[in-house]
Amino acid sequence: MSEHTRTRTTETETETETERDETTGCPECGGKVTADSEHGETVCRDCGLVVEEDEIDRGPEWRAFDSAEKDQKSRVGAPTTNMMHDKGLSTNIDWRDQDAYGNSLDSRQRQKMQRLRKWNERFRTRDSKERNLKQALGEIDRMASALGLPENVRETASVIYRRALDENLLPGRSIEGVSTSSVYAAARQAGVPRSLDEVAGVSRVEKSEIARTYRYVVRELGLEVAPADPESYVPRFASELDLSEEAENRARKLLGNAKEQGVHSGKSPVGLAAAAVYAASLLTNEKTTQAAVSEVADISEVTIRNRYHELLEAEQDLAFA
Amino acid sequence: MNRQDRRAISREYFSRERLAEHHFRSFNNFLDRGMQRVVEEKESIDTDIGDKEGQEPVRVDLSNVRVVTPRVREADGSEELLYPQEARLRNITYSAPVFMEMSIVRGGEEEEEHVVDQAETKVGRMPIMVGSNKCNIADFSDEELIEIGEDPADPGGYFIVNGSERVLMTSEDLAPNKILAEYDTKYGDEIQIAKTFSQRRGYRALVLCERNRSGILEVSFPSVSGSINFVTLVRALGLESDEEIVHRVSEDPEIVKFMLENLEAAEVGSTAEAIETLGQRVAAGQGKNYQLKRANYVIDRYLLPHLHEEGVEDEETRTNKAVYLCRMAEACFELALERRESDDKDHYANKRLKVSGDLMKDLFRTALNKLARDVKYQLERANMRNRQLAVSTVVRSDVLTERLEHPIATGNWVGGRSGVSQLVDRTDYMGVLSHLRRLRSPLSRSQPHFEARDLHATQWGRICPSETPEGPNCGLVKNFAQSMELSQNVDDERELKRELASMGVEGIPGIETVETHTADD
Repeated sequence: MSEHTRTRTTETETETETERDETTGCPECGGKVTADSEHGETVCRDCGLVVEEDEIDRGPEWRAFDSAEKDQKSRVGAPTTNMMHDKGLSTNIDWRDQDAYGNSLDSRQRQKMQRLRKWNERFRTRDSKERNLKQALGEIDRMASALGLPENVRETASVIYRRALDENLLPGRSIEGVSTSSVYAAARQAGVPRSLDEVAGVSRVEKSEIARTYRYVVRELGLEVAPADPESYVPRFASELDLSEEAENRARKLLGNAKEQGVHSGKSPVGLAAAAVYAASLLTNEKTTQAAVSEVADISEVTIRNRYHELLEAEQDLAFA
Repeated sequence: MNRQDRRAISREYFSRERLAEHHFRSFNNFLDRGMQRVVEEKESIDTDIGDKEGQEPVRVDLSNVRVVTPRVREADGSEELLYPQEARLRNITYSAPVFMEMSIVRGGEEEEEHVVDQAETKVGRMPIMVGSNKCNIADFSDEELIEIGEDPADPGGYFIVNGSERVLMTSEDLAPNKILAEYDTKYGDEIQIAKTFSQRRGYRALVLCERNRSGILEVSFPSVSGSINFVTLVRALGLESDEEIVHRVSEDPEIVKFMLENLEAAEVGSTAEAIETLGQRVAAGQGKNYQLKRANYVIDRYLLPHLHEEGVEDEETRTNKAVYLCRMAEACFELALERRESDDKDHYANKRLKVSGDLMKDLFRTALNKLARDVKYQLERANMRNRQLAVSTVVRSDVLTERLEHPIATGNWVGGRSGVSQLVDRTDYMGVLSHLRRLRSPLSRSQPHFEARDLHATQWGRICPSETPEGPNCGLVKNFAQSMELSQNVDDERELKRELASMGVEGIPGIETVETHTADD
């Protein structure tokens, strides 16, 4: 018995050792190591050494040749998601009014099933925290839809909100305020930022409150949110102003130059992006007015003018340097 | 006509008409008029806010709805035109944003009704049929199509949902709002039944009038269990005296004899009595007032709903309903006297087809109702927390989008039908064309249904006599004939009624008959 346990511990030790090797490279030549799931091996790309073999395939034991077969054979349901207050783990009574044999239920049984469905729905929320979570996640979902954010951003925002709830950051703040801040933070983290004005436009709280709550949440949770990259605002402004791909690329180049020169630090990223889009439109002869750009980006014309000059100077300095 | 001539005619015909034209016509009609009509039927979204003390009632008025062409919203927020090939490759839905004008109105009790917020917001996305009016490639030339990645010979007529091409199957049903008479057996005896499928705004009710073995007429309709005596019901609708009833049914002496039998066996004498009896049937054991209220509600909502229309009082329609029931009774008697043949349910004059536009209309109606419920909930919640009510924060665009995309993606339609949307059969070009021109019958595949599966004479020129699958679907799944053209429903029935009234037809509710001169003036 003791021998058994001994061998088991040695096995785990060797496993961790091989893991360390994988991150550093192939043990023989130091090249890149990739996993080949078809043969269940981990192989070095350069010298061909088989680092690990007989890997256990964790997939299903069946094969399906069309989607109907796949639905029938699969034993799992939907993946768990942080976007639902119960993480998608609860079940519902099916909407079809049929029994297990496929026969339709009579009207009394149908009414009974309807009542059971209603109460099942009501019992899903238990304590005040779950109710809070349900409302907040609904708000996050609504705002993310209105801003056109993809699913991964919604998941991130839900996770941020859950963390804020667990750390008791909510008392004294509105649910909508914290959920809006989560959305704003998640969008920034994912690299598809939405400006504070856009987020305030779809939120039920004021811009100042959003900013305040956001700073508080980021500080308390220790979130690492890098300052927004002005280049990520360019596609949206360009598409709203109906500018061509060429103008968009020009704007991106201008911003790249500004970054090299260090002109961008301390300036609002949205302002820089707006000015870059304006400059690019002039340079590619697809002229737009400062007024139009100001409306699309919600930035004052003065800011656009100032940043515009700075950007052009940066480009010229680069050309000379 | 020799083969060359036939080929020339066929080629000429198909140089103008597209092969899936019925899909396009139906869907374009839905986009142009159907959606607006559904929104007008809904009119406004009411909330429960005004029910409490000290609160003004709040409601949302819906007006114009419009759809643009399909576009895709990227992760960074930019929007670009979407073309079908990109939707197929990226596994996204070829759908277009839907905008609707909504205005939040507060007031009505203490203060004046004033508009709190009015805006046109995006309420969701509608999947667009490839090749329809609002499709991005609708009027592209062959070279442009090739450039954008499309096959110029592709017929279109399908939707692209989550990257897969799906066709909405045309299905055939018995014609609504028509009286069909047939024989049936009950307790061993043969009885006569007159049926009519009364349909209005997506609600379909079967109203039966049967003449049982003792010759007594009984009527059955939804929400009332069992059947109600004919005379009782007709009296409840306003036709009181015996002469009136007999006159409305028929002048024929034999039928009059049958009617007198019925009238002798009548249980009630007056309208009030009749409504009381009806009340006792529908709301047994409740207070008298509630019984009367419920009886009136049931008569107006569930009995022959197709006779209602905009701008006509419920009282007038009741007389119409009584007259209609008398016609059904006449049909029963004529069948009993063998003056009328039992209606052939496979005759195509008694059948109507539901094409993609009609199916999308039903879907849009339920989706709009769900959106209305969600908006109501959001408004009530926002009002409870004393927040500013704004249209942009109250509408969740996902609700409508989900409700429109999910049935097309899975095939499970509202009303419990499955297999309505199918993956386009891309085996070969002929397979695609055949799939788009397919017709499904809703009858069960496991039953024999001998008459339904037979080739019927009225299929000549309309449905192909040879193209039908072998096996359990034989005769139930049909394909359109080569030069078949599907007629469309009249859009505005009021125009038609006004025209008839101007020609001298009497008794049309809500429209006055114009006096015309007869020929011998």
